[in-house]
Amino acid sequence: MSNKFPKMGWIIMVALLSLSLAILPACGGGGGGGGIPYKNAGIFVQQTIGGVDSLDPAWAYDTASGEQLYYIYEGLVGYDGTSTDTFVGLVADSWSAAPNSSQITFHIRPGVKFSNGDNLTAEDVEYSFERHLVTDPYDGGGPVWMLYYPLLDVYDSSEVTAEQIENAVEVVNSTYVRFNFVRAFPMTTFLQILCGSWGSVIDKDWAILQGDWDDTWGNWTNWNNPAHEDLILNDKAMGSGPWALDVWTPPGEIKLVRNTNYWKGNATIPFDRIITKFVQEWASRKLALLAGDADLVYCPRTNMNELLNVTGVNAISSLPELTIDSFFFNMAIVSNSTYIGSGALDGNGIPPNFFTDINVRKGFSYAFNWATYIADAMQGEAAQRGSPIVSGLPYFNASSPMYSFCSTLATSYLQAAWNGTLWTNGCKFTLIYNTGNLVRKTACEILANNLFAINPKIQVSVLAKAWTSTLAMIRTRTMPMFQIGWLPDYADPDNFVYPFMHSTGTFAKYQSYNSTLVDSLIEEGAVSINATRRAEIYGELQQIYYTDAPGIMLVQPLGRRFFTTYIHGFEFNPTTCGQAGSLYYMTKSNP
Amino acid sequence: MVRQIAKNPLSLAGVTIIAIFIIVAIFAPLIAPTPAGQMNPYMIPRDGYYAEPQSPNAEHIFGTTQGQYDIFYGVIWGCRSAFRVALVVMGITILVGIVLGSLAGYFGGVLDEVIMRITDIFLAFPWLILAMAITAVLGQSLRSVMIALVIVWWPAYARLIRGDILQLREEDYVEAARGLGASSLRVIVRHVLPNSIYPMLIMASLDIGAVVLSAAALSFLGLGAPEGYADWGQMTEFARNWIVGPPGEPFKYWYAVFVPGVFILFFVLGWNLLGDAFRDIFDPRLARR
Amino acid sequence: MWSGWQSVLHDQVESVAGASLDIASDGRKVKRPPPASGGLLTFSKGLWYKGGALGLRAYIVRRVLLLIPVLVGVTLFIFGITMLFSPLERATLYVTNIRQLDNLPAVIEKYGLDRPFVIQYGTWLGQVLRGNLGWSQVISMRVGEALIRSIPATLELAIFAVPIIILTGIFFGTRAAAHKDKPFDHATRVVAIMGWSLPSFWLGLILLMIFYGYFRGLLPPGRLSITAGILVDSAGFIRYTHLNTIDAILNLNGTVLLDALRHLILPVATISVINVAFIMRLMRSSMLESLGKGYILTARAKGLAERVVVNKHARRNALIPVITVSGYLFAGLASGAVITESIFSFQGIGWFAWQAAVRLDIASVLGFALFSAFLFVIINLIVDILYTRVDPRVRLGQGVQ
Repeated sequence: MSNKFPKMGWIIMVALLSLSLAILPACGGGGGGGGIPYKNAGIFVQQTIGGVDSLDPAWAYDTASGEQLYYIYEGLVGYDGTSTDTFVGLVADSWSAAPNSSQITFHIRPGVKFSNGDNLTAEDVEYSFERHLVTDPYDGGGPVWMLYYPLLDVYDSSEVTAEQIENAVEVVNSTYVRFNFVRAFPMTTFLQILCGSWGSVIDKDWAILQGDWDDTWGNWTNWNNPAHEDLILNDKAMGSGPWALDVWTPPGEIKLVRNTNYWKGNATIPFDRIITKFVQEWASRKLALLAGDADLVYCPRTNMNELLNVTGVNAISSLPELTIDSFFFNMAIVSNSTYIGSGALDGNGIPPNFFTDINVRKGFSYAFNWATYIADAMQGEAAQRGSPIVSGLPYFNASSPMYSFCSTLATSYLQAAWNGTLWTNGCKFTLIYNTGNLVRKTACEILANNLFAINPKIQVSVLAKAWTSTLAMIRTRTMPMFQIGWLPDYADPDNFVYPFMHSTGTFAKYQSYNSTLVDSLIEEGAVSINATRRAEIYGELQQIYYTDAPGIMLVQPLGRRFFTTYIHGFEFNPTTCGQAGSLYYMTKSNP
Repeated sequence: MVRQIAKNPLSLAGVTIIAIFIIVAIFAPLIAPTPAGQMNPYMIPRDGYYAEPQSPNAEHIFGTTQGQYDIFYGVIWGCRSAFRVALVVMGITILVGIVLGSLAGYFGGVLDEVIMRITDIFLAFPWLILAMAITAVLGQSLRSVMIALVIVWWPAYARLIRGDILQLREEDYVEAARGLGASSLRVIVRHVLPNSIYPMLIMASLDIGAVVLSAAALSFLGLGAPEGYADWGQMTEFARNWIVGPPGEPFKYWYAVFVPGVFILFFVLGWNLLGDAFRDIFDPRLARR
Repeated sequence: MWSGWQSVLHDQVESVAGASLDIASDGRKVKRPPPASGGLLTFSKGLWYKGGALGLRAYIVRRVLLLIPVLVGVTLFIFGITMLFSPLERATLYVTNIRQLDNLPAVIEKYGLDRPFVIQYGTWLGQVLRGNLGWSQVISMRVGEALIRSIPATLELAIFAVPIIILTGIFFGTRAAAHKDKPFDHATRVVAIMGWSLPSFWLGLILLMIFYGYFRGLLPPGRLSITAGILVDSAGFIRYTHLNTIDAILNLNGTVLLDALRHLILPVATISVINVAFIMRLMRSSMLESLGKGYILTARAKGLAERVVVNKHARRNALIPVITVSGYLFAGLASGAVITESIFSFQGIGWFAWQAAVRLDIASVLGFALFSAFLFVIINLIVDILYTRVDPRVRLGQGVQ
């Protein structure tokens, strides 16, 4: 170190400066001005939140994984365009169901190839389904129950024999695959189930090469119910879809590349690559869209106004998403819950069976203001629903009765509740929402404030809790009321009413909502192959939700998409995982 | 000492800044009165539920942030939260540090060894993980933040005190006191500690800034104050999604981002200036020039 | 975070001063205890560096052995905290879909989440010793792999940020000391303190707002742009280190290099602005001390030019504490500049730790804690050894006793 040192310091700084000056122009970043630059021709880039959990079709049950599987794999059939109950053949080119609805046979399309060039035969199809049934990671709760339920009338493989699986799927006449159900099952529903990622057809030879189930029944249980770290196909994929897996760099990015062996023809594939980046920061995603670095970004509801009326952004709106959010009354709160105050109707708490009184439930339902909720929390982009069956599902009844804010009616029901003791003594309890979810927080506050305005002795406090805690508390029945949303597996009313209203359904169970009438209706509707009868059943269930009020049904959100104007051809199908939709039918061009 | 502070313009600035914050914190209920009927004054009142921040206007001097929380109210009461966090964390940290450091330094031997190993462990702790674990368990609140920060900060002070005691232990007057039969406690409290207070003062005043920044960072990451609480870090978290406005008006929501951040900046600045001044004043080696 | 450094730093400054000044202001000889009081920088009597090659080796061995109680202590503590969650809450980590709520008991059973604390910790420890850190739910791969995959991003940030911070800090600190109490000194002090007082997340977001938002797309977040990303993943590009800049140089690919550098500017700037202040002030005070030493007076008396005095003699000694602090700076950055990484989408170790903690991914949290504690101890050791090598007075200091 000599007196050259300070000079060295200057030299370094000058070097850094000139380096940065050299880099900046080289990047060609756009200056201000309107419009979004057109970048990355032939490549579709999207930025969203979350991350891919697994690429194994028997494990993946989240939308991020489902989306990637949708591009990489194909099933026997797919939804026809925007329809949710008519189908086009993909791996299969025709099918026919037996008249007694306990068998369905698919003819496998000739000429379909996997992305590595292997031919797709009926054997691959049989192997795929048997393999999914074999793998069935039921401890973690994967999606394979949807194959088990129609085929074997069970929910998992815990007590299943090799013979049963073998008989459920079989190759017939070398180019046909037949599914055998142990009892009659509605075929449309089964076809809908086959459209999901759990119906993906994988390359048998390739899979066996990777170490997956070897198609023998001697020790099939070795591959059954694996833990996540033992999934062989967790990060590998070989499908016949338009794209193939290129690189998956968890947690940030997954890249797909075109499948040159695609059976519809390589030239028909509009994008060379599909790149999905997982960026949790909204500011970065938005800037990426505006800079042209992304063609589609996920925009949280609260920020939607920022991307409206922006040159170069195609803001698609009013998409009737198949999802619903709701409040649930817990009718059997665990007695040591800290959220029920004193645990008695003495003005300082609520008893564990507080919500078993229909007057309380109706009173609360009339105390909720949907108009404010929709206008403020949902930016006006939602529609109130009166029951779990939403618009877009068959048998949806738009004129089914619904509650609305009415303080007179709320007052009268609350006065009648618990023989008037509620009204005179008042009560205290806590509403919980999961941290960070402002929409749910607003719902809690609206309810709390309105109740307080109706009777100041009804004091509801609002508390935030981590998502993991709220989930655990649903199970332990600790919360007086909980809020949660539902995303369907397939577009059938049964998939909605079962969790909400059947006594063993995911939500109703933890609410302790139990009605034998409802149970029998749902069970009948699930396997009924008579459309008229189904319409009756689901109509009645919608009415029952109103009269019984097991929860406060909130809204069906109207979704949005934010593409750049360079992306054309987007069509909305509510069953498609992810935001981008059927990329195969879309294009990117300037203009 | 006061004269020395007054002479140095930067430290004077520091003291002034802190004084202003103290005044604001004390008079918060007058400057930003809590709306009638609201039980907890630390929760920022909401003017509706609409998500988009509104610009400063007559009703909301600094505008509103996401969810229509009044920014002015938030930053004023945030002064109180900031002081609370800073003083409680520093107070407890210094206390724990003094106790453990004295024990280790004065008595030496096994006790010293054990305490030092414990501090090693806590020093090696990834503070973020620790803070998150505590917040996750105890729930989102300033209390969790304070506990987490105390756990992370005390080892430094323990070692500081220990080091000073190790040095001072050998001083003649200490030996004299012991020779005269003074108890260990008396020796520590009356002779050793007063001489070791200056380095601790320096470190503490510099650290207050760091404490507040860490608390703000934790709130920003969603691990500190609950949503809607009057805390600067929490308010910056609300502004996180509004950093860039719509194209053509990139700085549209500047107030949501700028205001809480500026309060943090000046608060920390004040303490850092003061601490820096303390260092210049109290560090005997530097002063000897 | 700061506290570890500060105390260590304080010790260093103390020891440098202490080791050299064995004459107190009133002229009497002062007994000095072993230098660098406290914890990792020394052991209590008997374990300090005894000089000579054999002593050094033994010292290293002893320090490495220290790793064990530290690692066990850290992980035990964190494990303990996570055990405050009920098995149900810990099981919800494995839920990606609400329907899986029903499966929670099976999950608890499968992963043994309800067994006694000691058994769970013991099982985990046993697995770790066998090299299995568990599965990371956050990244969907094994924890060990996840750590290795996350390190390059953070390392890249550290490699660029640390030299910039150190060099800038040294430069300005020296000048400030040389011009003490003049305008330059005051100006740097104000700038330094302001930089130090900035909340890092605020600064990062504002920089992003300006350089990515206002100057549409000039300095984007993330590590690489799309085109560079494709280049890097292509067959022709060999990944030696997973650090984009170094790999680009090794592959002689200019496009990727420039792209990677461009993406590094903002995060490195954010980290640097905040940390440079500390180094600056440190350099300044240690220079001032150095300039007050006896041998400096001698040098001046000998008639050497002031510049030579400052640069050649004073600075060399003043650099010592800075060297040690760089070590901690590096360790601190390497265990993750969480906020910078999350804002700029640099998915490195810090980001990993944050996601793991937020989602209660206990295996990942523990894995990260191991890594971070390990790094801290090792860097401490390296710095201490470096320190004893660089500063011969340490031994002298000991000799006074």
